Amino acid sequence: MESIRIKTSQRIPLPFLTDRVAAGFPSPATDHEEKDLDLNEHLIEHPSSTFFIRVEGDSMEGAAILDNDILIVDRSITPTHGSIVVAVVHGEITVKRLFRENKRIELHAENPQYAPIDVSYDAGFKIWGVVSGVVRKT
Amino acid sequence: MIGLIDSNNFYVSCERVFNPRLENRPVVVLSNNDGNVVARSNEAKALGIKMGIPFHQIKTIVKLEEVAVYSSNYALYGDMSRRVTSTVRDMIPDVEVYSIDEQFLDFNSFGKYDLKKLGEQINRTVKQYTGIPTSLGIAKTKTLSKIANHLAKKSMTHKGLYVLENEQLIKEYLSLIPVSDLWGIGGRYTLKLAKHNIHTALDLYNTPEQWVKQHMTIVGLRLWYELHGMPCLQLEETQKPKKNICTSRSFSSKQTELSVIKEALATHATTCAQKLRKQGCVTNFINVFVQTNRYSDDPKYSNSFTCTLPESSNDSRVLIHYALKALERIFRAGYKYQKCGVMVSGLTPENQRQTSLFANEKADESLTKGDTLMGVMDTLNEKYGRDTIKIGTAAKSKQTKSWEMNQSYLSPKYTTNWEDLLRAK
Repeated sequence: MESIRIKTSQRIPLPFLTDRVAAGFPSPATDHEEKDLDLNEHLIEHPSSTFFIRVEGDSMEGAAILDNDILIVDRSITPTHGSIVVAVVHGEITVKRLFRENKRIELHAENPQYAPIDVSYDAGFKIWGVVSGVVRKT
Repeated sequence: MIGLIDSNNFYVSCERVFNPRLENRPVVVLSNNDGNVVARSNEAKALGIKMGIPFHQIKTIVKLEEVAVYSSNYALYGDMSRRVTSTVRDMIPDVEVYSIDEQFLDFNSFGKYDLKKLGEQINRTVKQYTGIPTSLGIAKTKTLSKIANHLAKKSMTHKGLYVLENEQLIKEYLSLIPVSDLWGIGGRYTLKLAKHNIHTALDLYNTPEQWVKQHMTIVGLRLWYELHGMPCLQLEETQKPKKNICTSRSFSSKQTELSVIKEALATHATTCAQKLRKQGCVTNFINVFVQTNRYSDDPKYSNSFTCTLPESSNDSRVLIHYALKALERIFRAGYKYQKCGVMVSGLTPENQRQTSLFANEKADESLTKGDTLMGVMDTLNEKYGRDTIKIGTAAKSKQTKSWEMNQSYLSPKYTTNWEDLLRAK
């Protein structure tokens, strides 16, 4: 089964040297070369529970989540009040901030144009995963 | 103790993770070429849709009951399967991947844990991390864990988890299972056992050990021990490299043209070569077969031919060359071909490659060049999606699209293709 999944083996090597290379004599830095920086490792703590989801729209602009961004969603994180979550409301998948107070559960956009969604009594409401990062190409 | 964890209606569950609207709805997933039903949601089962039924037979039900239909999305199911396995492995290190949706777990180093609690935690974690619901059966042996798993799935009171330990209970359940349903009991054995009045698994359980030793093979004896809670089947934690690889497919419509079959075979040979390179192997033999439909009234013909390669190889170009040579030997004009395929056997690890007696330095050089080229091909195909780069013969012309796999109801490759990611508003 061919696939491009989140692979720890597909690393982009960016050698990171702690010291400048001095010309003229052997660099003492070569003894201190540290391991390559790996963006996957930095962004993804639990590969098996992490999924990428594409953002559509501007409802989370205030949280610096823009249209077409890629969300890093880690399902192993337990959602709490204030988490940015991917949730299912009426069969639709949405990204919002979770607001939880006593028995009241709401999903808040980070854009004044969108009203909060009260999901306290919505049987179909489900949290899909917690957003742990955002990736954007400029 | 051994556990068997199995993902419920796995292919359907994968589709549901990415499409919440499928919850509580009848859903079916079809086999390659959209031929038969290979997975059903509980709602689809309740409608009486049987496993393996040809899709065209249920088209009316599908329409009337608004059954959601999907083609097999192997990229998605494979990725989700790896996620389930690795989530389980993080909790229980000793795992045997038994199939795409089943794993055996070795609980023997968890002696002091409450297996019920641990089992519940495993099911719950897999559901949370991957979205896939699972059933887990735990018992003293692999054979008994299969029974426990069945109970976990079917029992209304034990939602998804069954720890089968009580000897009396084991016997009661064994009395309900026909002996032919047990592992390693084939049709021939079933007849023989029936002659000795052994019909259920319990009958076999109650048979004296001595009788089993005398009248059954080692497989039968192992089974007898396993039923008595004495483990004989070990967990196979490492996957053995395959001894042979076969790639074949039915044409979506019958083919008479040599050019079409050539193209199909070249693609199959390319896939075989890719698989060989992936497991670091080379092949010595390539077998090609063609066949007409066995059940139609048209003239029937089937044949196969094996080429021995001058040097073992996993180069797509070499495999295509010999596959087409083999085809020339067996192709007969005037038949309506239904299926063709390529099989490679006699696989050896790449580093023990057998070179021909007359191999010279120049050949060695082209060999290395070939390896580099194939490496580049694999990398590009992995990066930009399969079939980005292909060998000329395998490139599909418009007129010959007809032999390609029919996948009319394919869902997006949510986890393996950047263009196909799930979207959130």
